[in-house]
Amino acid sequence: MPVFYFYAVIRRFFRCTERHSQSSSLPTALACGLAALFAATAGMSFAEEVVQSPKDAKAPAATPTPAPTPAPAKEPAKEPAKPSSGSKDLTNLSLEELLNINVTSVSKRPEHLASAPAAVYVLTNEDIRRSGATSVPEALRAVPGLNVARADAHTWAISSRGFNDVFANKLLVLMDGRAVYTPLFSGVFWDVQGTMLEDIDRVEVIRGPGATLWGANAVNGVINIITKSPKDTVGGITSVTGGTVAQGFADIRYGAQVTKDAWIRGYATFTNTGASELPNGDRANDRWYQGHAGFRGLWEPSMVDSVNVQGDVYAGRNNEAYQVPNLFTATVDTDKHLDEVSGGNVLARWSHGKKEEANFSLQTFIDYTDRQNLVVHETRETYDLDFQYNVPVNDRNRIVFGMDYRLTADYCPPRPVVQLEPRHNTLGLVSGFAQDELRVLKELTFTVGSKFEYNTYTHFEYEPSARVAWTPAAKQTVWAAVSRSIHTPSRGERDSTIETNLLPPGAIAPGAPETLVNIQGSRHVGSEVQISGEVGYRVEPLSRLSLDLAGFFSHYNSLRTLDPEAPVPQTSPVPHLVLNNILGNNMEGVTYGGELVVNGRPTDWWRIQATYTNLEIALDTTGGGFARNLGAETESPRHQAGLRSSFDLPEHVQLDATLRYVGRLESLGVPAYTTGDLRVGWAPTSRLDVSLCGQNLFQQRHLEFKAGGVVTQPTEVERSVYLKVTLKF
Amino acid sequence: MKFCRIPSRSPLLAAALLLAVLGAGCTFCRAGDSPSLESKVKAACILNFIRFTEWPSTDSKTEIVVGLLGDDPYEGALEQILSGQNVGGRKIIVRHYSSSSDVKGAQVIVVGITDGKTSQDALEQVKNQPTLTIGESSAFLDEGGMIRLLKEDGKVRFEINTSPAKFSHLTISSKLLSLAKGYHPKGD
Repeated sequence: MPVFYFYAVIRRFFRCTERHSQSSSLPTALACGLAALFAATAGMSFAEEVVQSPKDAKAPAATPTPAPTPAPAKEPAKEPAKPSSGSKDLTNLSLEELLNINVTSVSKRPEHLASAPAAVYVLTNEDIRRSGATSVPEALRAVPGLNVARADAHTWAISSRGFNDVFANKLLVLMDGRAVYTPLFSGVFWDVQGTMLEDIDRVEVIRGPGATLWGANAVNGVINIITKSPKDTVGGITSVTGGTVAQGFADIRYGAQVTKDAWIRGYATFTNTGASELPNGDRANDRWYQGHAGFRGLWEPSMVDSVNVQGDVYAGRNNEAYQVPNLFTATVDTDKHLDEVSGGNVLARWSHGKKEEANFSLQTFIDYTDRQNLVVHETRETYDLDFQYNVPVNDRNRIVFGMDYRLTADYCPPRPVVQLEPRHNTLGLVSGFAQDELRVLKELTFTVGSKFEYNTYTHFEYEPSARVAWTPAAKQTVWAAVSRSIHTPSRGERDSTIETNLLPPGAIAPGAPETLVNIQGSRHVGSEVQISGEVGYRVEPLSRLSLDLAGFFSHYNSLRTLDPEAPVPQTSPVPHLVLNNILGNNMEGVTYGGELVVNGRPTDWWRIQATYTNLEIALDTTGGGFARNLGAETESPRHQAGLRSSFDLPEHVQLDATLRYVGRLESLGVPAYTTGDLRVGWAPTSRLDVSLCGQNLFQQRHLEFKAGGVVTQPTEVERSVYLKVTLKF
Repeated sequence: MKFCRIPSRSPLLAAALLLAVLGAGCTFCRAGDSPSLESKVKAACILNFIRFTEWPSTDSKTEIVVGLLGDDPYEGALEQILSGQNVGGRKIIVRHYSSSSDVKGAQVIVVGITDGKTSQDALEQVKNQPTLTIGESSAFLDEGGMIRLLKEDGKVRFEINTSPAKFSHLTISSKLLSLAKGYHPKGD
């Protein structure tokens, strides 16, 4: 085994104050909210006092709203503008102090995305650090419009705009250009998507369809995790974390410039996450350990060429408790198991050309993954070759086109609950896309394009889209889009048999024997089709305020259903009935809703963000009267809201408070919850950062999701505290 | 295409209405706009670069001309922060240049939003002249610029290429060098 299992230094720094507030009632939530608010207010007045004292200029100056500024004249020299008092303060700060001011802009959106005709949100490195997230899925909780629900300590359900599930299959996730979803169910095993959080440059999240560029399964969103360039990670960084849930986390990265035009870095991380709690307060069986190690190198042999090579390996052990039908005892047993996951990948990319001129990139990756648990065993190899060419045809047109070839081969030997037939399978996918960005006027841009693909299961597919962006003023964008997207069947949807439940004798009819309930994949299952219309409006009315609103209406055809067949008697190993639910495409429906993000920066040292997400789903079965999967209607919350407040206090102290509300999931029996996180960070020097973070503070524990299909024991998210020390060297 | 039943209540509609009202209001509140904090901090850094740079005694003008080449990425913050400031008895004047041929004679050149060629031409014009050159593009130092401003982890940082400064007879204080991020020129 490689570098895994270097044990963490700190264990159990804090024992959570157990059973202080068992209740998750509204009064408790309100009390906690008020307490947080008081803390925040206290912090504010403290900061104000200090800033007013001229001797202590450590804190960024609290700028009063500056007087109206005349627009800067182009040329030649102009009369000096009257400097506002706020700007004047900056001229008195030393260079060291200037370099310490946090200048992240209010919208935090890279310029090229400010006028993008899509619902885009960017989570920056700073956002992730200040959110106190200890893993990639946790960091995604801060993204408006995403529904992030933890089913157990290492299992997550993440999606946007509906159809969330542990096996959510309408969201595409990429890490540095490498698709990380498994064709087994077209979703993501989030437990193995770990990396060095400090080296994530940003996470770009697109809500809604992205199929024209990214292809099948980018139906309801694309998550693009982008790590820093090796140029920006020269030097070392290490951190250790100890707490009640994040019991021992340690990571280290070292980067160097090896020649005048080559850079490289290597990293290793280890996580030991404690078991969560069952609804009755007992410890669940979901403790997990994982180690990741990897490298990323960059070589720039000329001004227009860059070669990027990177790779990772990982291995982990997840404790899990499965609900397994037992024909001999006619019961569903809870079987504990230690799951083993491991894998690795290598990616190489060559980019040639300047950004604003014609350029191309050629990328290839190989990914290997192995997951062996009680109910399924998947070994998979994926090979991918991708080419993209980007050319400005004339002043008005810019064309992007690309081709991709992917081959994925798996081996899935039978396990007690899930069997795949055939055991070996190879899938091919060839795709191409072309898109034209047409600038009709300076402030009006149309983007039209389509993806065309050919896959082994459903053969030819197409995913066109048309988008328009109108930028009437520098800081205002109105956009609209219409797209067609598809979800192509996964290997599991075609070839699997899943034993999901065992009904006791007499349950389906008097005198009937015990009945095994199966989900049965089907060769006849086809693609799900979505046609989605979107509109959006982004505005920065003041330099300290930005608003982003997106709305959508989507129609779905041929959605996945479970169509029950008549029970079939079986005699082996004991007499029983088998009730097969065959996968079909017998549902259609609409979803609509929207997301609102408001960013404010009342002062230079205080940022605040409010978000609200609404989602309405209405589904109807078609064809067979028995078809059912209508639970999907209420497996995603109708309402989600968030509030985040970030303070830069004197003496290099940062305070971050997060509040989030997630509506109930009716068909899963998961109640609505409100909870919050609080983080205090102190960076006495630029090399040292110490932070204390409390997560899910409002109640002792709360339920977020219950996994269906392959049934595992639902566990709850408990209140936790951790201490993290980060050192740069 | 058969449409399904659609739930009637929608908080989104309320949100959209609210935003429409806010949006309409926004059109009228543009006057309150000012440079972003990032622009102001960068401008204040540039002021410090000037404070920590010594021009050769041959340059005895009573003013320090800061020439901004191309479009202004700092939203007017250079005027706000630099104009009228007094450094070593010399008054700072900010000028805007649109062409690389204008830059000769300025004590400081700040390369704003331009195409790569204009930037390279300007650097060529002032090569070996006592002109402090400041820019932000990733290739700026490789092309012969002296100080590159950048943003990292939400904070402003800068890199210094000392070799062009040497040839231009400018003395950059060691204090500035100690605060700069490491820069390793190509070709070394």
